Amino acid sequence: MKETFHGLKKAFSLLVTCSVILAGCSSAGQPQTKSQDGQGVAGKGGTLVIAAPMEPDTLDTQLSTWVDDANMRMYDNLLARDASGKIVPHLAEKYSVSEDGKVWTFNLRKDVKYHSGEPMTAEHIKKSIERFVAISPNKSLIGPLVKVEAPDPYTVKITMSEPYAPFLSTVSDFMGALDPTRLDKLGDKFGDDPSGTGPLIFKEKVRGASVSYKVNKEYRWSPEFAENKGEPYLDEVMFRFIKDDDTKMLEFKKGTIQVFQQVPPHFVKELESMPGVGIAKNLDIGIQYLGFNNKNPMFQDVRVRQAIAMAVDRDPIVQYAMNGLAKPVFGPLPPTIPGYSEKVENIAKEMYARDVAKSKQLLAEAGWTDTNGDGILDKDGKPFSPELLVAGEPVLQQIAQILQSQLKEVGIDLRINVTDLQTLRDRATKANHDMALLMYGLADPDILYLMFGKGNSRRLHYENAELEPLLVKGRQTTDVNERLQAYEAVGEFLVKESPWVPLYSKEVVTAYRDVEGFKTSTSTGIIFQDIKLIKK
Amino acid sequence: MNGKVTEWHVDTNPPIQLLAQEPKQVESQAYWILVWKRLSKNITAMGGLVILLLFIGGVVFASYIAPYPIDQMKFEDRLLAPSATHLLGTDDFGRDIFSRILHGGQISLMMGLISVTLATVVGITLGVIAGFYRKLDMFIMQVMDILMSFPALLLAIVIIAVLGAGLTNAMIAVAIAAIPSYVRVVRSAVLSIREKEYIEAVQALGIRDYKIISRHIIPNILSPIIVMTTLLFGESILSAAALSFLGLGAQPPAPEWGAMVFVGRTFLSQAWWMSLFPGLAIMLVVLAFNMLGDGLRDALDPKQN
Amino acid sequence: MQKYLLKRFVSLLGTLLGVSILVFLMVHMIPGDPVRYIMGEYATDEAINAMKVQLGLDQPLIVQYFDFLARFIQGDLGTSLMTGITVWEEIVNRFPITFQLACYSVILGSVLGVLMGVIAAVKQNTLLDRFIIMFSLIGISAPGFWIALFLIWVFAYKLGWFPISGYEGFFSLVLPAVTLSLLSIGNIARMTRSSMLDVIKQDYMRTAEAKGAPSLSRVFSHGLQNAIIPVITLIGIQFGSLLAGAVITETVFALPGIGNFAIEAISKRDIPTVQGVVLFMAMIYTVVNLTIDIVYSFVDPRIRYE
Repeated sequence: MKETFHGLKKAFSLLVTCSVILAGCSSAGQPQTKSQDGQGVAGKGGTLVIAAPMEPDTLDTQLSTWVDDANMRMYDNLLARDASGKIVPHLAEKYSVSEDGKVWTFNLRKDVKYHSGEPMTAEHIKKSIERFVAISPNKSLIGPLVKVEAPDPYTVKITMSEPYAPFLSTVSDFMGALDPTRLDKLGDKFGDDPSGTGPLIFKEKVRGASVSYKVNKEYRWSPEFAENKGEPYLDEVMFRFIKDDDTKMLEFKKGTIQVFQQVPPHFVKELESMPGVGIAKNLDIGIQYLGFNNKNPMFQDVRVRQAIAMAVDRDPIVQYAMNGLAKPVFGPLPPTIPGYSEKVENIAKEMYARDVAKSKQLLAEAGWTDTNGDGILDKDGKPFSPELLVAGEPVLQQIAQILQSQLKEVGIDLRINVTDLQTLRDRATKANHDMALLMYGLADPDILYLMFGKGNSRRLHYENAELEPLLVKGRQTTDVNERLQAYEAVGEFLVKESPWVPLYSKEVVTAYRDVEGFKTSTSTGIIFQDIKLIKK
Repeated sequence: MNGKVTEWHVDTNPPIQLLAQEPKQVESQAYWILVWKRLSKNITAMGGLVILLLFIGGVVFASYIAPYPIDQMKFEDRLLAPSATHLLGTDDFGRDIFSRILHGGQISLMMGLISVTLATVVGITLGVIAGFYRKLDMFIMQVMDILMSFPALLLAIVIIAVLGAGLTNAMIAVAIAAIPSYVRVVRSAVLSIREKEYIEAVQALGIRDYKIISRHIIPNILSPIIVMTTLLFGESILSAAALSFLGLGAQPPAPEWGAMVFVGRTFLSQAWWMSLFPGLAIMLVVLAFNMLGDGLRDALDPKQN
Repeated sequence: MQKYLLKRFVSLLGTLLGVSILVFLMVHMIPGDPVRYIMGEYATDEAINAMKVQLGLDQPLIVQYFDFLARFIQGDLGTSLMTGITVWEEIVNRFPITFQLACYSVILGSVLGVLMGVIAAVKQNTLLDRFIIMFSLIGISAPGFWIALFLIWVFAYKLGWFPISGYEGFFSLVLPAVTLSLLSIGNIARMTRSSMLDVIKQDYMRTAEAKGAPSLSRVFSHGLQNAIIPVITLIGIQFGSLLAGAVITETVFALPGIGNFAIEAISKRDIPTVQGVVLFMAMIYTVVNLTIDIVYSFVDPRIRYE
């Protein structure tokens, strides 16, 4: 996944791939069964070595644009999510929101200590949140925040200028406590020697190679989904950043790595057949999509956009390019995030099941016909030959070629242009393109506001006065059921308008060996608390 | 010394100095017949010529020879090993590799042809100007020195970063990277001709420069140009393939050879044939050009006159 | 001689100045906004502009160039946007790998190349000679990336003798060095063979022969000694270009050398890094070539005043 082009700014997109966010409800890491093999005993102690997908730019997650297990597990958030994505207490035992939806109150646990031993208080949370608002590249996720208060050592009160439902997601993903003494001492350099209240304690960082942590033996405030309420078993955790997938695979086979995160699809079969290896698959919260530049005259006609959506067959893409490790998605949201509606997905599925004849008919209605008999549609003497921008990853290039051959059947001549990510972003942002193969994802349906909201549609360039109030309603409704309804309206509208063609959500695959009690999911991350190493 | 070495190739000819042949009225057919006779005795050169002709034939008539269409996906046939039905196996979309190599040759050879033509035209022009008009010499050669201070591939990559990836831009980048060594060879050949007394004599007669250049200079520097161009052909194909391998040249699904090797890389452990055969095609064509170039150099070598 | 050296030095400075201008211009012509890239797409325009001011990117190009040049002369290549570490430090971290790789390849290439060249010359027109000629031709004709893939396939996948890629010490450099040396062997063998043949044709070799000196010592004491100068020059040039980054080989083997780093920096639009690394590579290359020229001019006085 590394540099796949996600839909949103780096921060969001990165979140997608990482464990921070809302869960894949799918198999969240089956209990370890295979790895005992009759030999070896699971026990206390030892170092867990993990091959991480990418080296984070910094360990200061408030400054980072890449947040995952490798750099965020020194910190805890106010709330957490379990493997199904349900929000559960963490640093905050409970929370409430005022009736007007503007004031959030969090009641903190009283037993939380920093790695330094200092007890955590509400003032520290206030300080951390204020720092986040001041410096984080992700600060827009915090919403219309007015002020943060700490009326007593165990209460945090946050006031918004207007209701902002996604705040709960932000709080579960970002808002935690950073060691205040270190913050004072290091300031912007906090990432050089970071510390918090989390299950891992920073030990050392070797740039380009690894980050090592000691396991926090005092950690007793894990979220409820961790089974081990006592002292953690592991001594240390090391994240290694090996660039090359083949090398990771080799090391994993040798047993020098116990956990292989984000296994590329073509390795999965082999790993599944290896004795003693466990595989955890979690459906991603992101969607890969074929995006139109909706400012481009070519795609002004809704019939053209619908026709292209009908020309696409997701099955070969999922089956061959993704080796079956993905789920086709037709509607605007993947099944892994709140706001997903089966109703909307079914409408979309019915409307856009592959139908070459109907697609051709719609295109003909829009004025695209093959007048010169070359097999390519044309209109006003111009052939229908849009350019598709694709990032360099082999899988994406494969998908692009499959799309190309599918669109050819309805008479569209897709020209593939493989470019580096930066050029792609640049051109897509400037609307200087026809189509692009992209991805978006966030653990909150507010992603749609970030994709289509006023002034936000930087990739698809689709804004609509009818859609805007629906999106705003979604982000301002704190009641869960009302919110779901709001997003059903958004979804139906988007499906009809077809400003892009959603393709699939991929399975995030983690392989593990020589461990007992290993669990991971996109929303919980690896649950270090429960892991025992099997020593041979 | 202008034996600049790049990662993919030597772009001039270390073994034998390319000197302009002795001034003579080279229009004489007899001279070229002699050269051909010498060349035809050279087994290596003839071997190169045969390989080359085979490739050119196969590539030109690709649509008649190729047993399968190149872009049609047949997923049930994906990653088949070489067999009687698929001579060189199939790729990840079930496309026949033999057919793709034949068609891809059109792109690979054309990339070579166009970049070489571009480099030749610019290289000869600048080389002649530098050699003939001594006032411009300093400036041109300084610019060439600057261009030559870059490792050629890196220069090409940066040029593509500026222009954008794609076939045309890759060809331009390859041509630009090849120009400096061309200019050097042409310039030194022109210089050695220019020093001959009769050029001064002709100049003294008040003959216009362009006539001197076209009648007296160009014909006499043909040999090094021919050898250089032949060798450069191979090199350009290699460079263009390298750029496509990095994803900067041909775009999918174009069956350019370097791009095919790149795709094959992902499937190396499952389907070695996906990268072996396109790479072999590159090597054979470049080898053929080098064999022919070596032979031409020997045949045109004044020392053997 | 001093005059010659001075002239070469001045022209070197001119070239480097030109290189710096060219690198600077090209890098700034690359489309894509590096600041957007660091700040993320949703950063406000104000924040972007503030960052541009901080990085000096709001200044006119000419001001930026002189600023860049001034800092460059003081040895400051700027800070990488990707990693936040100074470009110089990045180069210092990565260059040793490229350097080792260049050394191994050149050593392997020279030893085998010279040996093969000498044998071919001595056994001129025999089957062995033909074989060596063909081998050298293949060496210079085969695409490096393709050779690399097949070395990986055979020696890493099938036999498991060497790592597939990445850098974990000496063993990681074996396959890349072999890949690169194939080209060197081809070049060096060809050069050695032809310059040995030139020498053999000359009279003093015949004299040596008449004296009845044993063949092997004849070849080495008389022949090679005289034939080696152009070969050494070629070896030097090979070394220079390898030091300037074996870009593709480093990429295929995922070696963290400077060639690989340059490619990564280009694709991420890390302007200071591209500038610094490309300039560094060009400098190394130029200086190595100049050194060769000067050494050569001592050895062969004829070319000095060309």
